[in-house]
Amino acid sequence: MLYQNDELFKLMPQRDPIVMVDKIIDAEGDVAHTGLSVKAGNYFIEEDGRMAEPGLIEHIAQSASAFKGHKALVAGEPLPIGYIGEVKKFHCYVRPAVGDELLTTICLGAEVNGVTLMTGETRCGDTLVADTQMKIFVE
Amino acid sequence: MLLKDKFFEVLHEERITANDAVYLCGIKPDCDVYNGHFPGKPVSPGVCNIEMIKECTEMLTGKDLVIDTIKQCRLTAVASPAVCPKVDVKVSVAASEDGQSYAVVASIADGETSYMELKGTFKIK
Repeated sequence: MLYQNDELFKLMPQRDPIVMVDKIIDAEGDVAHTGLSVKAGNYFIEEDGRMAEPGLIEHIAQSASAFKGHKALVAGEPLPIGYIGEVKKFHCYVRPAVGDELLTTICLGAEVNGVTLMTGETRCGDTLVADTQMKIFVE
Repeated sequence: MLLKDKFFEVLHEERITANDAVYLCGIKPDCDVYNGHFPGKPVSPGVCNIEMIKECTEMLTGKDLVIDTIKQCRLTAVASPAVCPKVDVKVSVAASEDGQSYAVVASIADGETSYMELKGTFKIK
């Protein structure tokens, strides 16, 4: 485990109530594994106790943001603030429920003019939850 | 609905056809999301704008919906309650043959600026 809970705050600007990643498990090269324990107070939990799909997009985006923050920290560079520029080929297979442990693989691609292409895939146990491509703008 | 009357409120609804509508939405500056996005620098989360599109699509169709796929969603400008206190959320739907989902084309814009363009498939819950 590289970072957990509040330790992530040195990597990313988001704070409660919209913190959607709570661990970076490992990071090597352009691939990182991140996670989120889905709790009852989560911002995106709907009346039926399941997460609205935009919460999964935010989880993947914040995972990438924290991963880039980790890379910047290691390199001694200032913390980047990333914005989602484009979501492409997002698929939600199942909406996570309170109590689920989400595990996400982030693959960062090329960075061109401050825009990073990335892919994210989120699982819960053996179940594929969501996958997407994204462009992240860094300020 | 998760964000209606919290992140946004509907000020006016213009039904063009049964499958097309424009919702004039107010972006609520007192929403708690701005406590964390970002502290001291309120920026409307792009994913909240995606959820706003979903909830407007639910109002148009009268169905509870789940986003199945987003083919493409372009976030073309940074939105905030100060930059765009009121936006037009334009939604067009086409029901699938089995009636279980809708192809959705939607956008968020105000007078001069486009903030979001989305194409996707929303399933009936």
